[in-house]
Amino acid sequence: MDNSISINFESNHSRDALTFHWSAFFKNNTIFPINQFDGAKENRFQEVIDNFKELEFFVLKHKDGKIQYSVDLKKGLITVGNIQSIAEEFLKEEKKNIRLIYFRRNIITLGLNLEQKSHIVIYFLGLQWNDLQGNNRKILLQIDQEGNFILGDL
Amino acid sequence: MAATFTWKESNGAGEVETTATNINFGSVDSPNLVPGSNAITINTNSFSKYIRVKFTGTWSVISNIKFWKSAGTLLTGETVKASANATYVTPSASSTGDSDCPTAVGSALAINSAEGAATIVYGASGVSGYTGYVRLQIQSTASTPSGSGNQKTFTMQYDES
Repeated sequence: MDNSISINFESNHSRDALTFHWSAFFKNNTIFPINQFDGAKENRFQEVIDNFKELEFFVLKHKDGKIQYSVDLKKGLITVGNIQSIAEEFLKEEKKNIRLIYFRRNIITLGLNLEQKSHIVIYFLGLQWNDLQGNNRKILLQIDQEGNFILGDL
Repeated sequence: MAATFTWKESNGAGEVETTATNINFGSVDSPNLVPGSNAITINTNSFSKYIRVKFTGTWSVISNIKFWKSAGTLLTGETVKASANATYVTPSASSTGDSDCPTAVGSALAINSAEGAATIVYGASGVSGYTGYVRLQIQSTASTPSGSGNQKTFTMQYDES
C-alpha cells in the first residue's frame, strides 16, 4: 500500500497575505499612533495591549483602502466605514470596563502535491464590556479577507 | 510579515530534525520519503511520524492551535491515527495506540507549545516557538486493498494577535 499524504509544509504568511492592517490611536495623542506596519517594520499588537489604558480607537483598514472598521473604546461602539460622528441615540446604555477583542484566525488547508490548498485569514474584532448590572457583554465581528463580515461568536 | 510557520519532522534515535516538504507515510523512518519505494505491507502499520510547527516572524500571542484531517477517503480497513503533544520516541511501525485522527474542527487535536502551554507568547522566557508534536500513523488491515492510498488533506488552524 503506497500512502502518499502530500502536504505543503512551508508557508510564508507574508505581509501581502494580510488584507487588513491595524492602527491604534490614543487619548489626546499622549502616545503616537501605532500602525501595524511602519515601512518595513512590523509593530506587535502587544504594544497596543501594553498601552491599553490610553487607547481610544482601534482601526482595521483594508490595505486597498476600500473599507475600514473602527472600535471606539471610549463609547463602546464599532463602526464600519469612515464615520466622523456618532449620533447620541446609539449611546443609550453606558458601558463600563470596555475591552478590545482582536485576533486573526489562520486556517491552512494542506493537500495535493505539496501544495498549500488554501490559507484563509479571518479577522475577529469586537468589544467586551460590563453593563450597569455588572453583566459581561460581548459583540464580535468576523471579517473575511474581502471585508465581508458577520456578527458571530468564537 | 506576522507569524511565519515551518513544518518540521523528527526522525531517528538521536532525533534529527528536518524541514519537511511532505509527510508521505511508508515502511521506513525517513522524512520526505517516496511512498512507491517504501510501500506499507498490507496488514501492517506505517512508521510513525512526529511533526511539529516552528513559528518565526512577528506576533504577540499564538493560541487555539488545532489539527485535523479535513478530506480524503480512507481505503477499506485503513485508518489514520493521531495524537497531540506526543513525547518523541524513535519512530517505528509498532502501533502507536493512538485514536483515529479527528475529521472535524469541533473534535480537532488541540496542540500546545513545545513547553506545554496553551499559548506561544512572542519573546517570552523559555519559549522556543515550537508547537508540541503531532504523531501520525497509517494503519492497515488484511482487508486493505493493495495499491496507492487516497490522498488525504489536513487542516491546521491557529489564532494570532
